[in-house]
Amino acid sequence: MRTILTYIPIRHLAIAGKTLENKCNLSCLKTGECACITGIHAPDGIRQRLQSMGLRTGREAQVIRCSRQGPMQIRVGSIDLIMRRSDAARVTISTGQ
Amino acid sequence: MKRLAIVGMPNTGKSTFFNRLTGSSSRVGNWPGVTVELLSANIILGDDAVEVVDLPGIYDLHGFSEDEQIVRDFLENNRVDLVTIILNAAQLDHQLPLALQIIKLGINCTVMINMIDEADQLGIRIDAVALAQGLGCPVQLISARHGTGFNEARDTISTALTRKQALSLDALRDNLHADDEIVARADMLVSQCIATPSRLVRRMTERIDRVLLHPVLGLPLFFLAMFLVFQAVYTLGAPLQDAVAWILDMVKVQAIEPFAGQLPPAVYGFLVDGLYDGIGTVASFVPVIILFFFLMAIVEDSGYLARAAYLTDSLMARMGLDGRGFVMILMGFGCNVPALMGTRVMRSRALRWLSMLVIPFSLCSARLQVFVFITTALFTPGQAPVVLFFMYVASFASAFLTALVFGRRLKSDEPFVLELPPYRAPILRQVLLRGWHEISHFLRRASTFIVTGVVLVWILTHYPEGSTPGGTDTWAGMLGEWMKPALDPIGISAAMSVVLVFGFVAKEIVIGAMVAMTGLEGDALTGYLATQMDLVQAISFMLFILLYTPCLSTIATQLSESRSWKFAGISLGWSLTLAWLVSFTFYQSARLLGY
Repeated sequence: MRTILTYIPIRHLAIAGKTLENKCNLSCLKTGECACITGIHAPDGIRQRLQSMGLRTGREAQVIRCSRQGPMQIRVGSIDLIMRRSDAARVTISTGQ
Repeated sequence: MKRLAIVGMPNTGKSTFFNRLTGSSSRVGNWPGVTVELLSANIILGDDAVEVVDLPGIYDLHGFSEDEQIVRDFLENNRVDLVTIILNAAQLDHQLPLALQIIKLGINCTVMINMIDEADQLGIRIDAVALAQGLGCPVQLISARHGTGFNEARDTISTALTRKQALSLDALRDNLHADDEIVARADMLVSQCIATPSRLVRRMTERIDRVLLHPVLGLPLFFLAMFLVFQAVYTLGAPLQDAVAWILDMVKVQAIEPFAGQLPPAVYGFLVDGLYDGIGTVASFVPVIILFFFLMAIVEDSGYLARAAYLTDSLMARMGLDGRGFVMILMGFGCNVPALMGTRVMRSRALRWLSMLVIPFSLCSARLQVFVFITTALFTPGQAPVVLFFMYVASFASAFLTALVFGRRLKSDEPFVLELPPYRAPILRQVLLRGWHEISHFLRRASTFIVTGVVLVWILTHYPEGSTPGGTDTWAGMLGEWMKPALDPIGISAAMSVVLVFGFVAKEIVIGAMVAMTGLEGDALTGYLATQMDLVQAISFMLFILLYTPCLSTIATQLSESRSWKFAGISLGWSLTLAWLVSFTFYQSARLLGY
């Protein structure tokens, strides 16, 4: 089981019952890239918390910095956040090209 | 007496505002309905005596986190004449919803838009008149750091205080439970009243972060910074420590002995050999603790702590903890108690409890003073730092082991999201005030423990009447005899096991206890220690001291923070078990190897 899991890239992991495709959540963005937040897929308490920190639908988020395994630095409006990739994966985005 | 409550998000300069408004007259107190202590101060504003209360920083009023619950509980249970909402001028888009939430409660409000200097530099323009109209309450632009607009702010507050608070606590309670559509309204206000450059550029912060958060250099720089902090504490602290000890000795010889010499020997022994020497030995460590808190206040105020969390998160994730946990463990190296209280920022109970289980293994400054004393007494100058380093390694290793053992049971899905504030130069006044709060808190707690502890040790080691002080026929000696079966296998003598009993109360009194027990000081005490233990026993003793429990305050804090006797009990039981096992393994294998 363990060995199988390690071969599944993060972008195919099921989050909140949905399979997120490539470029569809915040954790898939590269340094410097921007996207518009379309939703947060998490239990109520966690969604509330992410929202109160500024991650709201319709806002633009930019990835400022990613460490290889550790957290990412995200800029939303006037505020800079650091968040884990696993949490960034809860935030769905559209690149809106 | 009118009551003013200060509310705002974290990183808005709320405490700076509080400190500037109240000066240094603040105190920590308990409030109805609220389980933690809040900072408050009494001041005169206009014609009124006003009690100002600093509430914890919150992101919204929904009460998902402990701090949010505290603010709600406070507002629901205490009459408040005015709420002053502090907002960060550079983040109004993000902060206005909170202000609207509070205003919508129908409570008497004023809004202070703080850090106006930073917003100016970023090119943000704020139309305060339009905003005041939109919010429906007075708005004042200020810089609490530099005092800009502060006189006007004082006037605004004192005028607002004369307005009558019409809302009853019951009505407020109802209003707290209904709030919607606020974000939309906030966005509308932002677009009407605040002009922000399309993309904010914080040049200074970004330039510094490019180095300090560098993928390769970041971590080494972080450890270097922490090393420098500790190095500074002890390089600057050691001479101060000697100076305090010298002054205390002078006072004893010049002022106390000539007068106290006429007292009956038993009273003299109690007052001078017991109380004065015991407290004096402990007091000489105060400078080190003060320095530590000042430096921590600087690191914290500069915005670097959030960076430390970013850098260490991937390491901590493997332990089931997160970057904030690492910062708290690090704080624990100063004192475990504030570190335990700092875990309040974590919202998931599992994560918080795991962090609170790990923190007590941080080698705090009180334990360090014991180790410094023992290593300098028993080891060569070459060996001493190595032994001390070994203690730090043991401290980290036990923390990892604890996280491994309990991590499976205390799993959490807590999101790790943290605000990264821009770098700010710490302001001296602010650092001193913050440092002062921490130290006075620490001293108040420590002093009661220390006096009680020292007096208890003295009584136990000098009674029943007619026994030899510190001998085996005293109560202490009997206690040591009773614990012998447990402590013999780890090489701790009967006399030293008595010291352990008092170390349980506070490590600050361990050396004080040795002084009170033996009536010896300085070199004489060092000589006595050498007769009590050899090097292997000394290390085993120190390992036990390191792990068996930090102090009674820590246990009390764990209990009050977790509100669970079971948790505090498990934590204590685990520490005691781990301490005994580690000491046992070390002592027996060292003996087996022929040391």
